[in-house]
Amino acid sequence: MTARGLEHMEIGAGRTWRRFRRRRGGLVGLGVVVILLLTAFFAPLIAGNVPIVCRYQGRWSAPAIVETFRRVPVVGQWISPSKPFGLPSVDAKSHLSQEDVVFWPLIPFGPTETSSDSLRPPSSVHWFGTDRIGRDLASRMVHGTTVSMTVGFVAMGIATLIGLSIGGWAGYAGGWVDALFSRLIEVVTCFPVLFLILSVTVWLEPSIVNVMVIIGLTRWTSIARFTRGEFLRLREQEFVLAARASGAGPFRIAVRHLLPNAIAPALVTITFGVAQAILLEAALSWLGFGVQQPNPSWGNILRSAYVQLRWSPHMVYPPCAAIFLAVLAYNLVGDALRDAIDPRTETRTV
Amino acid sequence: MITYALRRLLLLIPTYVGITAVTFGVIHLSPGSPTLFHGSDGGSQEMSEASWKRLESHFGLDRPLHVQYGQWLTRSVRLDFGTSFSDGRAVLQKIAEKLPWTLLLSTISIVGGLLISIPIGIRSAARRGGFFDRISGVLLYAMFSVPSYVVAMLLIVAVVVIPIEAIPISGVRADHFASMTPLEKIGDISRHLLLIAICFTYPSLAFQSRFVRGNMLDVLGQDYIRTARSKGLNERAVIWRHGFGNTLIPMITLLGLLLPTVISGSVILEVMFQIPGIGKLFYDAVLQRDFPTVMGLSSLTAMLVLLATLLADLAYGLADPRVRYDSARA
Repeated sequence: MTARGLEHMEIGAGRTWRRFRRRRGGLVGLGVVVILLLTAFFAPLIAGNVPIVCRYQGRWSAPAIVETFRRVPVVGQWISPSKPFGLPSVDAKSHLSQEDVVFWPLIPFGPTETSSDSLRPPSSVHWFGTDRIGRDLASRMVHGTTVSMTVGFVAMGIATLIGLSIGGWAGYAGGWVDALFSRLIEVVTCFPVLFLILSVTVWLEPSIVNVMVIIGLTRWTSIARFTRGEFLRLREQEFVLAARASGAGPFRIAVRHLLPNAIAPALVTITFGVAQAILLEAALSWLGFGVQQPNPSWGNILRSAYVQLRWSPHMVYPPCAAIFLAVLAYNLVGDALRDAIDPRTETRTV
Repeated sequence: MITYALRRLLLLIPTYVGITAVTFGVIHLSPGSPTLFHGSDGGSQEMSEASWKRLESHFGLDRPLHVQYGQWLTRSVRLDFGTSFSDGRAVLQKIAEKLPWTLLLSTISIVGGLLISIPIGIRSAARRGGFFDRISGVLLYAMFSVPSYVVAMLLIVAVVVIPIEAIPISGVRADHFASMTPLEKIGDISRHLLLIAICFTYPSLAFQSRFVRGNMLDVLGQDYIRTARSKGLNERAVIWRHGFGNTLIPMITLLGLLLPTVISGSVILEVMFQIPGIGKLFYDAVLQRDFPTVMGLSSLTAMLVLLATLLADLAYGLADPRVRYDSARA
């Protein structure tokens, strides 16, 4: 019984992946998504003013590597910063001399590290130039990636959880439960998300957590609708009857047998949803209600570029390019995924 | 049909109540009351005292939340959203002043969008897989991934860097607007609105063209198209009269979906270009913690969205006699 449920999933996933692999656009998109995720995770190793590995006063340490893992939620709390360079008050550059062995990150500037070189155009030192208070734009872009990816995934994670539960419950139970949840889905679909988020930020401190939660709480409707449809279709099929006949409870049937078969259409929506969440976060940060200075995000970098437009247009391009690339990549993956799951749309271009 | 329309109209009520209740609840249940924040927001003590009084009398803040909401709801049905905190004027009047700009831009964007995207969609569908179809497909796909505010930033940079003096990047009128002849006035406003109109139109282009193309492809695969061709009709008549004519029905639903996105998308663009429309009003209201205005705008937008969707659904039924609403749809 369990084997059968898993078998369904294996066959479905394997076939989908084989079809997905044939799509160049999807693979390119997936590649970019992986690069963005790696950048987001290893941001301190790519850009920062703490050395990756160094030998200082006869002791070896790896402050940036420690820092990378300290940023992982939950686990990170138990890791203490690598002394002395992991501490924010210590300026590694002034402490380390020529004789010390040091491996700096690729971009040896911190995202919030200021300098007197303000509003410099791109050069070999500052690849993307610097902003009004002399912060390295390349470093800020790298660390902004972490924000965008986190928002995309956490917000859609919340949305997926709600969407699958409500859609699955409605589709499986049917009757008045279905009617009730269907109305709820209709109501929430009509929510003007941006307006709601802005309304909330009136009375809550603008923070990235609030943004993620609100996007998650409002963007689950299409996931729920697809899941409901799939559950309605699947619950009458023989393998469900077989599971029920062998004594499986409703929860077990829903999770072990229906969910693996119903996840595919939701997955496409989730992929597009991540792109939408990234866009929404950038828009909110641009308006000043998302990530707050000095923390970097693509949206607030774009905002400072807007403010400094007449003097230094160079600041506009990196965030624009990054937003375009990220959204394009997720859209490509979503489209390829949809084609791979539903062979009827095989003939679509791109 | 009439039963269906009535049922849908009745459904509007719980939906409207749901949306406003959530917004109302979110604002009120958040830590810190609106009065508290307003008082501590730098305004003089006297000001906050006055606004507190106004707020108390208008919302009855000493009563339980559901009573407050009930009062607000009955007022909102009569379109009475109270008076603004920031200048003490009626919220409805403030909205009515700003609405024309946003409506003007929305109209330009919807009409302009259709004028551009319908020919593109039809052309690519008519020669499917051809050069035009492939190129426009790739370009539109890339465009689809660029949000309108990024386009806006790039346009502004282009205008500033090149520079193009004739195109202003913010505001809606020149300083000496009052002394202009009517013709110059129209010219001045259109110069000011040029960039933002492009940005308003842009986001729907990709989606609409692909939408038209997809529907055209569906229709062109039908038997009656083959019949039309085989009886010797020229290709133009086949494509436009028999083909495009039959894609109009799905287009109606598209229009219903467009309006809400246009309006909620207006916030960032209107702030960027300093256009005194609905989006800018909302942004300012949020910054000033102007509770009645925020609430009024949210509810009006929700109403508008609901009505647009409903009208599109009903128009769909009127336009296509095959669509029947008798069977209960979930």
